[in-house]
Amino acid sequence: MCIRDRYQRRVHGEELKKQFTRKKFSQGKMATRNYLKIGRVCRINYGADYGKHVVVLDVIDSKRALVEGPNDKIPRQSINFNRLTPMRFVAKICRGVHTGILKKAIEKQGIQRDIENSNAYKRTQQTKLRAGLTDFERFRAQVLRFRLAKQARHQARVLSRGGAATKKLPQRKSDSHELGCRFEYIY
Amino acid sequence: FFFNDTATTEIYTEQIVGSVRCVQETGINAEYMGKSLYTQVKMTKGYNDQSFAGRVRQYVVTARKVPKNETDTQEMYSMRIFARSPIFAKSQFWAILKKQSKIKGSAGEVLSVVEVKEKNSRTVRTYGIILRYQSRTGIHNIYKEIRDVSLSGAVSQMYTQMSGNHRCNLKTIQIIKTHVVRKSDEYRKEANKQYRNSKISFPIAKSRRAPLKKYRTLFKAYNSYLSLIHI
Repeated sequence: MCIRDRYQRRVHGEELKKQFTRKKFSQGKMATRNYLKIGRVCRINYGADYGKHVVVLDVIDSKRALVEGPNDKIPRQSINFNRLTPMRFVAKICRGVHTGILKKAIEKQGIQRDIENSNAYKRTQQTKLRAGLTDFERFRAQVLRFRLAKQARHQARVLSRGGAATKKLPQRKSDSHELGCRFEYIY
Repeated sequence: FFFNDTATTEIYTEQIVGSVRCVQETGINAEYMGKSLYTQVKMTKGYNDQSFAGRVRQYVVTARKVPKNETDTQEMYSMRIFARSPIFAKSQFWAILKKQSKIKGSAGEVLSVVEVKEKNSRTVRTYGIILRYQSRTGIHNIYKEIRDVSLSGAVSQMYTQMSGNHRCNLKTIQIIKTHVVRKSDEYRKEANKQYRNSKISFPIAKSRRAPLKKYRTLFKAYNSYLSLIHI
């Protein structure tokens, strides 16, 4: 075998290896960590203030942080790291700033907007919405879901037979949102 | 034991020694049956009474020996005490004063017990606490550096640490001095210095647990996500 063939084999082999190695957990999306630092926006994941957002102002010790959440009316307090889920955004603040400055910084940097656009927040809103639906609304949601599913199945059949995908099928978007249906229907 | 018969109350009172409620009448509050003395006291006072909280508060106790008559003046003694409630504070006060002077609690009168509340609990400080404690083998002085938002919080942590690390009772601890550690060269524990960094940045382990206590279950339908916890 000439050198070129061996080279081709090696390259091809590496390509094959890449295709068939399983993605380890550490390479997956699950493990990208949002580091805890001063200014980090966190979601409280345990306790009475569950679901609310705070900003880390200082680190007290290996287990606790000093936080404050002016938008959710959470007074300045120490909180265990176990109760915090760090989010992707960081507020640019100095260590231990006053509440007024913190409020201004949150407003200026659009932190509340970032929070409201995050999937976790959207999920909590949707859960609340679904919990408050009446029986009739739940029936409406079911009808809508079945209809959308039917459309999606039809699309899948068309595509599998080699047909062209149609443009996005008409759907009463306002309905789906107010009934707590999935906020994205993937075609 | 399980007691059903209400007729034989005499035998019942003999067997429960040290119960808070002495059975004079025929009835007895069923809730107090079979509970330890500590629990009975707790039930009587209320579960949320501050005497049972782990948190220690700071008091300034002022007292003097009871003056003999109207013209007699007695020296006043004022002490800063860390205790769970004013009652404990007074008790601690007399215990320490008795060692320093000839005044006993029975011969003295407490003039005031004032709780000292933290002026500013919005910034984190490092507190250095020097204390004297009794270990199993002798009496020692020890220096502790604790980071907290208030002095009483730091002292509460200190008591917990002493009990955990040195098997030391709260009663055998006497606080000699507390101060705030400000400059970096005043720090005696390297572990606390690292928090002075305003660029501090570290990952925290993801805790996967029920969001409220009531949702806790013994059995779960998912595998343990140990791989998610990076140590």
